[in-house]
Amino acid sequence: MTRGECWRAVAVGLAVLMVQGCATVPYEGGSALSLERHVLSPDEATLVSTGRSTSSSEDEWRTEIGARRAEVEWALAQMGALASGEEQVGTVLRFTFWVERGALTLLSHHRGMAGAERGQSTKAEAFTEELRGLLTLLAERRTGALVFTLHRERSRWRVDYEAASLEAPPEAKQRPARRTGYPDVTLQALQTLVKQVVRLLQVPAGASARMTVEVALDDDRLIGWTPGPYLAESGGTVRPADAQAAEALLLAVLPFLHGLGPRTVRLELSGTHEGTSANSHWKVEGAETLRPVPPDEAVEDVLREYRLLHADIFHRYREEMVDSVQLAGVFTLEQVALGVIGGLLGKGLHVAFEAAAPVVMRVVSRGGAAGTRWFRTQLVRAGRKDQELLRRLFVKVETEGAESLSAAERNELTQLLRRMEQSLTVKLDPKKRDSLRAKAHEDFFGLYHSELAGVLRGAQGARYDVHHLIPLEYAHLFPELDINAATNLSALGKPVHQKINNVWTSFRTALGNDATPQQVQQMADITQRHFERWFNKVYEPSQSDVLLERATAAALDDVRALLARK
Amino acid sequence: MTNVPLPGLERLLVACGKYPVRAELRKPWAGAPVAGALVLGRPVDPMLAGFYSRLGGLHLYLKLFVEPCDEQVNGLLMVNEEESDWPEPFRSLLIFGREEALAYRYATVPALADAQGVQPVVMVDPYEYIHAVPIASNVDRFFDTYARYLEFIYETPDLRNDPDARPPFPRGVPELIAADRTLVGMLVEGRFDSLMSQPAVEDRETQAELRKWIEELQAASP
Repeated sequence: MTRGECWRAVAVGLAVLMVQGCATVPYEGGSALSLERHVLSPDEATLVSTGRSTSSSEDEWRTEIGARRAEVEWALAQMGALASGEEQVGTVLRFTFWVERGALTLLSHHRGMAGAERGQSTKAEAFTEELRGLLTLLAERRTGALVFTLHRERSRWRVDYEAASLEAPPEAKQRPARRTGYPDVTLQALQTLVKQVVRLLQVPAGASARMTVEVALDDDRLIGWTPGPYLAESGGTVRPADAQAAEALLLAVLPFLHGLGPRTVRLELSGTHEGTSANSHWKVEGAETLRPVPPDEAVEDVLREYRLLHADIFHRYREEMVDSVQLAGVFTLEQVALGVIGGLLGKGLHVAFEAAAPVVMRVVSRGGAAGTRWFRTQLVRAGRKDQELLRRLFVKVETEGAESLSAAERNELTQLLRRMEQSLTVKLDPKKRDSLRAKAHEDFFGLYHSELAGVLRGAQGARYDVHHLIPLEYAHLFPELDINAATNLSALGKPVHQKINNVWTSFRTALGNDATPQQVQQMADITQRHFERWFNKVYEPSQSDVLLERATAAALDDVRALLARK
Repeated sequence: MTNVPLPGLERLLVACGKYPVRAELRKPWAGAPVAGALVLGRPVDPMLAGFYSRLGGLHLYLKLFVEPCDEQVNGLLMVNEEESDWPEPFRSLLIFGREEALAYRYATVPALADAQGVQPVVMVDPYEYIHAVPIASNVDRFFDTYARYLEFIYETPDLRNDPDARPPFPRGVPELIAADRTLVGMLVEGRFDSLMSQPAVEDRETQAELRKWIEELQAASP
């Protein structure tokens, strides 16, 4: 195939894929499909993309292009490495990648249909050279799963590709990375794993065997592995695996390290023994990332948001080499809350802290946006020292994994969560009340009811007071309530706020610190019942002064009745 | 006294221009109260009068709100009328500002005026048990401390980026308040006792919190 023919095929393939979404296109010259008139070169493809970006600076865009190229080269190298040892005609290798913004994540690879005939020797570079342009363009334009099927023919590899219909997998990278290497510590751990697995690979003489291995990964770290079922035909004396088994295993697992979050990769291994050889010969028949059953929607919502945050942190850490101390200063408490909840739920770590902080973990494990906001509220009241501690530990876990925490750091985290747990039932001190009030009015006028910020203003021009339906002074009686939740906040004109405060004062004066949660809830109900008509509304004195006096009198009657029942 | 220097206010206005604070300034009014003029029987502090000779009001979005006092609205009078049901001694304070959207009020203390009529500043917390927290030895020092607070939160990277992590003014920043040595001296001398203990403050927990505030300021005082 000439260079021109090659690029015509690329353009045709791309066009078909984009129009149909899913197609099998032979990556061969002389296709029956008509050829595009305009021929694209890799550099021209780059220019197409440059035109799309209006927000990135030129430098950022160049960096992104470099990262996309690195992703393509990485993917080609992985496919080439796995294909390089295959000489039997009829062998089929099937690779499924997720592609997003030029980032390529391997989801699975499978091997099948080997024939007996041995083909002529061929270099993997031959097909990777041809595939480079196609992959570059697809990575540029598509988001979704792409399946590349490599067919071993007598003197070459033939490549087909198609789009596959898949939900975005949680481990998918969302930004391309220039740094496509693997951390030394992971490589060392992987070599140890390979040695341990190879020791188990044995085949009875003259027979065959199969074995499954599951490898646990978190980002680009190897967490552990477990051997699965081993099935062997009956035969003679067992023969250990030959020297190629280790390399085959290594090549099969390595590409899965380019992914995000905790996951399991299952390897299907098959071994045979023939003739008088002292060793058995093993191949990796397939490898794929296993996905757990999705959690319920509320938890999944938080996890989805968390994964975006984690991807961003991990990218900055690995790709941009931003120091973790610097990173810790960048993230807001809201992001830390999301990270802690997503990290605990996503990795199942919340169970480890249930003894130290049962209420905190119970609310956290409910997930959802409400759980995240509740945790953020606890962080606001936790004070700066604990905020900084959690920020530091959070960034370390996000960048280096939970297993990287030292015993002292694990203890710090446990103590922090225990402090948070204990503080839930302790009356708020003035500083914490001030912090929560400041946050409440920012959230109310900035987040929950921004449309009211310009409307609810007193005669002097200041915005109405933001009122807590369950007051902050009783927050310790409701440890699972987010005291700053939208449902607990309303904006009140000055006269209304004063009257409600008077009603609460009558309750406080009578009960002091002896109020029960039920009584406080009844009080909140009383204030809501009598004053709700003015919640989040402009107060017009001429229309409301008389009504307000009546409402106050009725509310005070209800309070007296409530107190009489104690 | 309308030309009284107000370097603290100048510093605050510089900070408002430098940092992402949504600030609204009102034009001064020729009829603004002068030093010693009475508002509901309470004398206007000379530095507060100096403020109103320069500005008709100052509003930092969801932060400091100094009551407007111009041709349109006499906020100084209105806010003191609004809080006229406060018990003594708080009713005798002269309120001049607030934290927007909260019930906290900033007020001068006429009863503690010096020979020049200069009054210290307190924050009145009317939530739960009403009490006053001393925060500045005079009005300009209050503006100066508020300016330092803005400098602190916008010059500290993790606070600048994260409003949730910002300590609240004034109780979250005792070290800034304690830089006002005159204020700390007044506290040590017991000048605020009538505002901070019985019978003004009935609740024991609140009394203890106020004692703790004094201790924090003393500990943080340079």
